[in-house]
Amino acid sequence: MAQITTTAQAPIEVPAERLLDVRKLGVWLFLVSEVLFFTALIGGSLLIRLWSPNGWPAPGEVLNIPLTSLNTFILICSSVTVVKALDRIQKGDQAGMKKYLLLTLAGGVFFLGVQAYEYVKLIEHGLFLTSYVDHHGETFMSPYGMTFYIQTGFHGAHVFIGVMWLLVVILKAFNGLYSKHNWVGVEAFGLYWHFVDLVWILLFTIVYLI
Amino acid sequence: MDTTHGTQAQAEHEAHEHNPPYMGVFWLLLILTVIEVGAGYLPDLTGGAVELPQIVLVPLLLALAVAKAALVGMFYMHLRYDTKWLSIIFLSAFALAICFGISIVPRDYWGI
Repeated sequence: MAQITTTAQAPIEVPAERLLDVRKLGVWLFLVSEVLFFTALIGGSLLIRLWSPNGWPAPGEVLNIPLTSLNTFILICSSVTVVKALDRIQKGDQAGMKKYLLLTLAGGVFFLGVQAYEYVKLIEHGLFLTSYVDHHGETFMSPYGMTFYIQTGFHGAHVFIGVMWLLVVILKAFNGLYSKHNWVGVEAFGLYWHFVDLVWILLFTIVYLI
Repeated sequence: MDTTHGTQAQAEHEAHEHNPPYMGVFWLLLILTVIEVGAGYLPDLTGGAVELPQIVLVPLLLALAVAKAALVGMFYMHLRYDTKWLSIIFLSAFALAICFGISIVPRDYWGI
């Protein structure tokens, strides 16, 4: 039971299972807005693809699927490490939480590094906003590159923001601000990070495999 | 502070009570990803003997992606264990997303 005190009334007894942390609810509502944002982004890109007059390159014709599969694997791993960090601190294991948070940071930085490398290689290969070069070296005018860079770029920006948020969480963790009874900060970050992973799962299929 | 403590006590109780299978979900995500990537490489892997037609491949890949996303939501984001209201709030956004997706597909694509 927890007590909620109002100015006009006597304290009300509320069962603990009925309460929801306002920070957690805030993150969930933010994620709802993110679903709508990515819906517009992915939906708009699909629409451009359906209406594209010059067709669309086949999967793997322009993009490096093995490299991105590795990146997908890394992002899934980083989701596990976040949830492990939360699990550790819920059990009061400070060292375990710190270890898994640092592993998550490594995963996020690795993902961004591979994405930057991928962009450099694609630009070298001739993938621009309004044209691409196929594996025979022929140039096609197409908005393919635009939809690719916008979708993966916005996702990458989310990963970057996640890494910044994670640095704050790690700083707090090393200052001993989380404990067995105070870990909503870790959980709130985790929700955002898992959502970014969830979006990547969908983007990987839609952008790279189909 | 009571409120924070209360909700954390609730989550502690729920998470520990159910003991989410984090590693099991991880291996499942990995296997589904291998199937996804492998499905596209079937012609290369089988020397052109097996190739899934687009009408099979695309729904299969989308179904695998949705299954993976659902696993992340249910187990890693704890929707399976948290209050049902969070699932309703989150899934309502996806319901709107599906409506949006259907509405933007050109008419001739549906054959109407």
